[in-house]
Amino acid sequence: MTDPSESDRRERILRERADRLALTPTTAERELVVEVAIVLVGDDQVGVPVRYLREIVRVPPITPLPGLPEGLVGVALVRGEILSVIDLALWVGAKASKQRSCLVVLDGPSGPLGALVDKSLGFRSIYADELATDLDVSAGSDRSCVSRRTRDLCAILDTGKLLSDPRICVGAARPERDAGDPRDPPPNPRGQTP
Amino acid sequence: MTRPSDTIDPEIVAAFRLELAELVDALSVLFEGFPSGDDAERATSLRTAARIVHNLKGAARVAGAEAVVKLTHAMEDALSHAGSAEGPARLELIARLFDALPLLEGLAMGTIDPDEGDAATARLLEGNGPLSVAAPSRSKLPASEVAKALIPEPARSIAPPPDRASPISPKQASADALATAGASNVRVDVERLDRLMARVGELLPAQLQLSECDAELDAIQDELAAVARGQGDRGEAARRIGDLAVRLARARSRDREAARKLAGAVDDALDAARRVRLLPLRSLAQRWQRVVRDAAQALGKDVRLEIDVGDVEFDKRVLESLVDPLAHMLRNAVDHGIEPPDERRARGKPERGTVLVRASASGSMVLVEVSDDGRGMDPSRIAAEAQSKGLITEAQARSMDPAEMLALVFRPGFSTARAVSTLSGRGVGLDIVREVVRSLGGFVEVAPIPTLGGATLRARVPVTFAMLRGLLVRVGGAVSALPIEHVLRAVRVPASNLKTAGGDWVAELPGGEPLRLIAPGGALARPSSPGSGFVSVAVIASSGRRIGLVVDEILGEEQLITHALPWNLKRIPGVSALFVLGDGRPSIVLDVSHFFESDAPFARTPAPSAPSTEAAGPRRVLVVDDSLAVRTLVRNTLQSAGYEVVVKADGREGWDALQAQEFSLVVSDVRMPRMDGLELTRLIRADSRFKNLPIVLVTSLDRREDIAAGAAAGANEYIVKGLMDQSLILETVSRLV
Repeated sequence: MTDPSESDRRERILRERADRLALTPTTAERELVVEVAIVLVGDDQVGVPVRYLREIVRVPPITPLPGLPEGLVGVALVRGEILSVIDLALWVGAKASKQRSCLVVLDGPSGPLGALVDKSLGFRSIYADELATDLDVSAGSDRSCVSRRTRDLCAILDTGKLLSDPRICVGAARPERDAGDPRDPPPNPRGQTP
Repeated sequence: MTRPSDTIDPEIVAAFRLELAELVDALSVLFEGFPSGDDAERATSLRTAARIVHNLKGAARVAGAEAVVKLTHAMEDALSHAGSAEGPARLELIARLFDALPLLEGLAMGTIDPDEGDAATARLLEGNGPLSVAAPSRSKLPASEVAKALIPEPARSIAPPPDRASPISPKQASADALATAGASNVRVDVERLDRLMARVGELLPAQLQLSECDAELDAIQDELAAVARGQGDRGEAARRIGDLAVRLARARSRDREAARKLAGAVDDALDAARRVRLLPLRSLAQRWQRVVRDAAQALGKDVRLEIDVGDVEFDKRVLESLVDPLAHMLRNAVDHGIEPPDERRARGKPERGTVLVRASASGSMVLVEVSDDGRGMDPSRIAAEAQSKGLITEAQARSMDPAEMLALVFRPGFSTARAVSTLSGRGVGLDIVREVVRSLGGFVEVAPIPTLGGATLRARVPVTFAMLRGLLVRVGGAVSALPIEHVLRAVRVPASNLKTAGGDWVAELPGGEPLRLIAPGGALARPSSPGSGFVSVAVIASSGRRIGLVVDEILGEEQLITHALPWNLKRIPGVSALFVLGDGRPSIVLDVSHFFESDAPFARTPAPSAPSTEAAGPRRVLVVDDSLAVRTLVRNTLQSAGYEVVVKADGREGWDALQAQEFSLVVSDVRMPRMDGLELTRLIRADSRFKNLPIVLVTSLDRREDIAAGAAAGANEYIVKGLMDQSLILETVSRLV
């Protein structure tokens, strides 16, 4: 027969353990993966790592150029500097939209790049425990520059990959590769585009 | 006597005051630098000053500023005497002219009563101490008396004030050199010249190495020819070919190495040459100190200027263009930003305000900030002010965020000053600052977080820029530019002169070979009535060949600042560079050689059923005047009557405009830099294309010799600046068009 006091003790231990497991970890205990600006692209929320973010501005007049490949929209003047503009939807596997109201200006090692998005939603810190582990990030596209998704399906932009993708270049231009930031989210082993 | 703002269109007065501020700055630099110049430089300075003063007089007439007309008239006479005076008397004369500049500004801005101004002028010119408009008035002097007072007695010998006679420091000299109107010289640090020489010297070894490679390749070629001729037996030939292959591989390797070295040396030399053109931003420091000091004194404020620009440098042309915008930003900070001492005291601030100029370079751009510790900018108040001036609607104001509200200060016509003041708040200023900075390929804005707690205006400006003279054309609805060196002419061809030959459109031009046409914008493909109207054609040439580029419209010739393609777009077929249109939209400089490549997508335009037509030209008037006030008056008047108006600043620009566009009439000033109105008139009359083009000369009342010369040159009509008003302009123009 089990000692009642021993039974109570076990029950107490189990209850305490259950309570502890049920607690949400405090911010201090959580592992920050990346801080992002959240933008809306089609129906998708995309997180743009702030490390590469110069600014988000209203879409300026864009001039199309002859012979640009798919994904490159044209050139625009932003604060005295002419930069080329891409449609981010194509690079994150999102649905194309005609509601582009913002231009995300990314700062890469070779220079700036403008990315058209629908809307700017704010900023967010993404922690390790928010990352989904079983989601395919390629969205069926070999162009996808999404490194991870959160459990609430926010796609984290692999900005380093985007800025070093030869497909954003025309002519002999080649992007410089960035050494990367140790704080960038590690790629998801599943579904990561090679 | 009439103050400028009493009866004249406020925009004209504002333009006049802006122009006056700029010209007085230019005169200030000329007079200040006069003692240190050699004879040739002094003569140039006097000529430039005479032209500036004359322009000021004309602009003052247009703005109805009679007191300024009188003073500038006296100054013109004095400058004329300065040309013949010598030694200390001449320096004294220049010193007095220099001292008359604040009076000129005060009269123009209305801060000095014209009657008091006359008295103060007399006191000043007689050498009785500094100008003080609070002193009791004396009897007015006629202009001739003012002139006499300006001219010292020959026996009077007064040494120039020490600050103007003392040797000029290198920094000051640099500032003066760059600020001198029309200066084309630049002072160069010897170290930079040495570096340039060294870089150019590095080209020589690479050249030598290439020559050696060339000689070796010649030898290989000769030997190969000998082998081919069959000298020697077969085995020997095979051995020699083997040796030659090795020598060829070595020569190619050396050649590649030499080419690589040469490319690097050329890049270094170009970089060194570019650096020769750079001038330090701090060379403007003394000018800034003067601007802030004068502004603070005029407003009864106590302001300290701090400068933190490090070693930031700009290309000489960029720095010259930044002189006025930065001066205006400083005046703006003192006038609108810094509070009066009592207000600062009440706010618990030190009575002495601070204005800070800060600059830092980042790659090819420089960030320049002008900050103050004053009252700051209130977005809501700015929006309300813009709404009250009709610049925005109430709905627009409601939808704006604070940053957009702050940006309203750069809109034309915006001013938060309760009353037009001497220094800023003139309704023009920050919009001009924005235009100038934008024309340099830069950007100016109100910083969201002010540096000193008041307001911060910050401009991003490129260190240097590439210029290109281009013919602007509208092709397929978009504006593009053709490099002018490739444009032989721009013509309007009657549609009846268009033929088809071998599937191409061909234009028959008078006295010339048939010209093959191409239409990149599809201008020839639009349905239209054959045989009627005109098509606009830019005749372009490359490598000895020519072709007619059919465009929707020829817009005229412009000096453009070009931008390289972004880093990831190294080569776009048909595009040689980019430039920025006035609305901030990037546009294309067309690569002319592309049109001559047979496989280019738009190198051939199959002949469709008929060419497009173009309606008869609009009533377009070319206004040529170096005075902003006169240009503004004439442009506004004619535009309000439905005329299309193109304005140019001197005769040469006007002549270029005539080559690119068709005009119904030309209105031109007489006295202008580079090419005056008389020369322009003579050129027009000598060209059979323009034999029926009416020309109206704008001349000063007291320059009747100009009228006679204008008549001889072939002008049709005259408008006298002092009598110029809207009805006279319209009546004259409508009579001739």
